Amino acid sequence: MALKFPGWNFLRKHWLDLMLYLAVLALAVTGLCLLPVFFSSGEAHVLNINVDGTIVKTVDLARQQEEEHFEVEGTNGPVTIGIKKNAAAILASPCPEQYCVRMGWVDDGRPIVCAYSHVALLFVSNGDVDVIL
Amino acid sequence: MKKSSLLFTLSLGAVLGLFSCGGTADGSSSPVLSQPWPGEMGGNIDPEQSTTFAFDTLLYITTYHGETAVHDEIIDTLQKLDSLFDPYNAPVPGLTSVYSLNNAGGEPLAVDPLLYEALQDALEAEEATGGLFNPLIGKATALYKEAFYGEGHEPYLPDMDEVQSFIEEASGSSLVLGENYTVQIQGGAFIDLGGIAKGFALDKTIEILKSHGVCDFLIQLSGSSIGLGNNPERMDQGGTFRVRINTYVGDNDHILSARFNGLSTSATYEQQVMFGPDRYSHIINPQTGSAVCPNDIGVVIGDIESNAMLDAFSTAVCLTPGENLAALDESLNEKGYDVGLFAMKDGEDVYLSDGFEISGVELP
Ligand SMILES: [Zn+2]
Repeated sequence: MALKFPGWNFLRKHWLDLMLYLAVLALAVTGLCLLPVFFSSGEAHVLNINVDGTIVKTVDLARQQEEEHFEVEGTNGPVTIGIKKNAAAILASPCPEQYCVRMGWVDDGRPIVCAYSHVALLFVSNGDVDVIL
Repeated sequence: MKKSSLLFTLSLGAVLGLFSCGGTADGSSSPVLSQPWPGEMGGNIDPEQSTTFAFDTLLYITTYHGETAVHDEIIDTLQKLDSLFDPYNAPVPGLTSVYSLNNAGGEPLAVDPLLYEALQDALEAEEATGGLFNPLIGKATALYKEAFYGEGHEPYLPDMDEVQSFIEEASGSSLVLGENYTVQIQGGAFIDLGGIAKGFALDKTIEILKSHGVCDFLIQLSGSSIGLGNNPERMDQGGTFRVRINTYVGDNDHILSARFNGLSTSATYEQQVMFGPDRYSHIINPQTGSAVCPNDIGVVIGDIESNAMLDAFSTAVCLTPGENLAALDESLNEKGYDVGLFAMKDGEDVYLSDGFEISGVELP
């Protein structure tokens, strides 16, 4: 599409609008420059095991060569936790809905939570990402 | 594995009005970013994190300058809201809750002002989403909940005729909000506020933070409603928080950076049950009664003080087929909700609002 020069009359009539457009454009460009574009690398490997608001155990999953199972005492009975290299799971819990168990092994930093037992497996942020959805 | 980056490049700030710039007091050129209410930002960092279990999940409160009393006030409010919104258990003594209303046999009840306000938001959300959120599908929700997640049996599909009868009852019922916090259910349906509960709780949390002039905070009501304040640990990056949106399938994760925004996510993976190739979840279409969503993940970003709406909108995004998402986006923004939408299915991007900037993630 060819653009035609609008002519001086047009400019005289609409200079205020044009200034406004330019100002808005400048603001948008400034906003664009301020927006940081980041590239993430690395995963969260340190796991905090939290029972009823207190951290009861911290493990470095990067160093966990063997798969290991152990129990913590949740608010409604024992909860079995599994850890292996770079992954963790709630393997058994007395909760009725079993959402936590159904999550299976998690290796991407998502928290594993059993609300019924008040047990949470929280991956510590590696400093690169603040929130994982 | 390496992945391509920067899939989308438009200014989130320009569209959502996140940023306004000015010189700093000492005359240096670094930008001073706008904040929605007066309060301290940056400075000495002394992070304080609290967690509490409510709404069947874990809620995290993080502030950065040791505001212990504020945490206590927030946790008390969250626990009270948990009791007020619970449709399955009687409330703590002294409260009139969703459970009370559902068991009132259609009689009007004077409810807690917080519940009244949440019900007002529920009606607004129903209107804004064209019925993709409906506060009166409590009976259908309970039926699915028992079938999918009930104790002592494998998940099964509920009787769809029964689901349909509840959906019809819901559409023929109404919620009447009267004077002096009086609420009446007309028509026999049951209330379920699951679709806005955490968003509303986040709004109340933000109100408390605002009243104390707290600007540096991160509130995570599980992954579903997130309040991003200013991040004093990333002042060199404009005080933004970096949020990773998980794909669950494949490796098409994304990162978004934002500040002074509310963020809501609905994902079918959270509580999925598979029947053949179909992924069923806790998200129920109030118009059809189906528990199969066209999209796997719906993310909505918007105003830090309108999280109840964002919560309902993220459900609507999950429930809206890809080809109709642009129309939903336009309709919400035309109604005055300044929001950005994002949807994924099977690990692929389905929709991204103009102006919603996210980038691809490079995994090691
Ligand atoms: Zn559980």
